Amino acid sequence: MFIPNADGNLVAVDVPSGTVEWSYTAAGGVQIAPAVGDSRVFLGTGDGDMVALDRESGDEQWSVGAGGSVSAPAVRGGNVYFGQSGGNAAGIMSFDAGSGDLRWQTDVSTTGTLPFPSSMTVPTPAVVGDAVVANVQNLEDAGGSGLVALDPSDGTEQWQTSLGDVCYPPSLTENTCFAITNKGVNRVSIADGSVRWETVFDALGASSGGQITPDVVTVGEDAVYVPEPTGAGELGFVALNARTGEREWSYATDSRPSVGSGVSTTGSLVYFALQGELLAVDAESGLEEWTYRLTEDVPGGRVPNVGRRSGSAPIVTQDGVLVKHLGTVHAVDAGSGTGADDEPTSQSPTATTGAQPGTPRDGTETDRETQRRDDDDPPKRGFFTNGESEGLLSIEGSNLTLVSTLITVVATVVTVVDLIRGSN
Amino acid sequence: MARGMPHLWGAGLGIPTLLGGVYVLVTGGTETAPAGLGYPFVILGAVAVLLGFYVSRVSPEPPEVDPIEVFKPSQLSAYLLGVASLPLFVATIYLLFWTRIPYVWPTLAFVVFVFLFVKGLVRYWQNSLTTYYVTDDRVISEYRFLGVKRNTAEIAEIGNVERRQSAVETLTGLGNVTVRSPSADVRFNDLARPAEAERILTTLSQQ
Repeated sequence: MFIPNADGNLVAVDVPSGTVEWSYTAAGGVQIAPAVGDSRVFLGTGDGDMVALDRESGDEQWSVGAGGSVSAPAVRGGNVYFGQSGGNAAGIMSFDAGSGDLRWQTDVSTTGTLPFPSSMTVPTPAVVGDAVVANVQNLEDAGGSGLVALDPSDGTEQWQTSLGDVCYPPSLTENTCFAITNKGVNRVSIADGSVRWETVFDALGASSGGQITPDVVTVGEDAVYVPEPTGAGELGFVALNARTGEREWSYATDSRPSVGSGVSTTGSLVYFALQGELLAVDAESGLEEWTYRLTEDVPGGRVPNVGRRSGSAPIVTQDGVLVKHLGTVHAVDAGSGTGADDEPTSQSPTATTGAQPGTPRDGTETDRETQRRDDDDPPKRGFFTNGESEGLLSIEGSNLTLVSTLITVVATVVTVVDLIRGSN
Repeated sequence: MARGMPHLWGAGLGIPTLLGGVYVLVTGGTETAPAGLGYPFVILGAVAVLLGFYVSRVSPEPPEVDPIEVFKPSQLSAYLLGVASLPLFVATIYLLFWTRIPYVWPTLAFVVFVFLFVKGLVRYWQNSLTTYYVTDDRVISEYRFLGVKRNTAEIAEIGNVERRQSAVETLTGLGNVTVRSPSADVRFNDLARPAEAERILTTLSQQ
């Protein structure tokens, strides 16, 4: 596990022993979570350097100074991608993960006139097989803020989509991209950049002026989980149907403030870090399963949110759920909520003080509007089409069972009749 | 007992098909195909096993007279149909579970597979239950499945002996011989040596 600590160093922690294996100190500090490749760890520093470290030893293997600000990296297939912002331009850069050689660089926006802090003008890339998708705050063609997709091989722009005034880094699946804007959550097709649905969070519009912004979408099996402002600077979180964007349930942390803006999930449980607690909620129902008490609450307020992939969100590993608290990493059993480290478990199979179970799946909250659009999940397999089909052609998997069974029954009857009739 | 090993053939083809269907049902299907698609394979496999077992327990009873010649249908055409069905079975499974192309294509492959598979099994079982006898005075075709179906022509009444071979049958050496008489026509199907059967029957009819 590689996490930036409070001193601005990147620390490699062995899981599950918790031993610190090495620490890397960068001149400008490390505040953004790294990307981990097979043998290297990639990170951006506060001085705008893009650095590759040996995963085992922490030795620096290469470093490229970009100037300005750099984003959290993304790594895939021997390439590492950084967003960079400096001067009046922001772009995406691709490096050979082994040598650090620049493969391509593509400017994606101008930044000089934007009223954002410099850290927000840095496009943060995420990568899947066919596209590098990044959030951009001033789209050159579409205008406004949104997403841009580039060809991973040469950086050629594939599409750009405007989503609002502010767009946060995307979360990708194979076909789909989820991103939070200043208005709500968007699902965007990676194929063409079309918006499949948008779920508006009115509370986001009211949360400007220093309140926490939920900048991370966590993708589960059938739902996406998004932290949402619940008023007074607090975050709860909400589950949205991944296909439709409809609200499935919400969880209000009430008076228990969170320590970050990230949610993690194993598919069956959803984890959220509160001050002094790790919370596990049933992914299907939104009901609280257990809480794990980390230490006493943090006096004087929340741990600074250092942005996406900052490490403030719980991290799901095969050795448990890891959560950082007061400079200590806690490893908690993902299923039972029992701790393996320095803090005894305080399980609460039922709702604890201040916790609220998930609301019913009525999707009727008045402060939200769900706009359902088409869906770009792997399309339903139709009889004559790869996607949804209409009318008589809409024979899908379940009906295919009937069709093929009928064919077999008919064949069986023909068999018996033929045998009875004989060969002459 | 029927000739050959119809129960083994039925079990050999039917049990893997049946188990495959059970596997699909038990494992709940895949992302690309529903679990219910196991039912057709279970039905098909079960039919193959049960009918194979049934066919193996029945056979034509010998006629009451001693034959001077006995002809049995060749199973070559049944084997060819069975072999021809296998690529369609593989194609069906592949298209169904390893691709996301429209269901019409695996369905078409399945239909062709079922056609060839059933055709081959039926041919095998029918041929297992069929025997042609030539006695001093009669030509007999006997088939037994649920009951006995026997066609008899008096040799003295034979008016014509016909041999027919399609292009495919010519390639495989198979052929059909029909004995025509005023009382009945008796067909000898899928003979491995149709020319020899034709010669014997023609000779007998001319004596």
